[in-house]
Amino acid sequence: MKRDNIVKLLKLYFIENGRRDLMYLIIPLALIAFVFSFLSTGGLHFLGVLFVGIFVARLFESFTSSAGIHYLMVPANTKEKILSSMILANIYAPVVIFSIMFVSNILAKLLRSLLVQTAVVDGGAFFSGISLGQIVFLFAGISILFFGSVYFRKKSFLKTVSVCLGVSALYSTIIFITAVINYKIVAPEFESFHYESNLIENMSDAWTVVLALLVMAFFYVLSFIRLRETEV
Amino acid sequence: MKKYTNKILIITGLILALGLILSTTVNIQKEYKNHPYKFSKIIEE
Repeated sequence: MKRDNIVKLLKLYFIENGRRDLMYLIIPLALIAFVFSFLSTGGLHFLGVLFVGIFVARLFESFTSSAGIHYLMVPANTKEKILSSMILANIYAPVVIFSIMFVSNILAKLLRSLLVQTAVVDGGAFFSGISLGQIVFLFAGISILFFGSVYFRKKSFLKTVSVCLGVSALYSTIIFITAVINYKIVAPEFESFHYESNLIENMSDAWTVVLALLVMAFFYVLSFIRLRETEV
Repeated sequence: MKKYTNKILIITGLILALGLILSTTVNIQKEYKNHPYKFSKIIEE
């Protein structure tokens, strides 16, 4: 693994996709975030997470589709390819997307304070209310979408999100059925019951970080294995 | 290279499902042990 190759891969990405990112990601996001924060105050973080998700989920789509077949022929090994893509997914996308949203937010608030005398400009408001758990889960989600972009060749964002929803629905059903059976055994005379599986809410911050790190490690290793399998 | 990804995914999913079943069972049994009055009869309002 050479650092030179990683730098070259990053350069290759920006040469090929820099313009596309600017036209379809950065400028639309800046405009949407500006209008959004001008009209209301909430919902902006969700927009950022959505954009990061779409960006990450499409990362390998261009690499594995027929249009990006030459990427497979780039003289770099799988470790280098996955590391450069991890830099793009974990550093480039969140930093660029959230800083653009922050700037748009400030500009919209400035304009609003010029138009409406009572409005206040508060730059810190954008970052307040973000907890450690949310940041950690953003990165865990990035690792899942990253794997989705390696696994599915087309429409990977939609496919990954629907598979995740399907799996969580399946697990909820499993928990529900187990709870029903247990209650029927323990208290057969009961007609209704109340059971909450609050595994994640009851976790302390340290355990949340550990869980997220486990999820990230699992999906990055799996992406690596998958890329090794599909490599020509 | 052999294809391992699908197998790893399926096995992890099964282990997770087993873990959820076990943790739900343990939770309810613990609740029954600690607060048996909740399970003893239907509470009428």
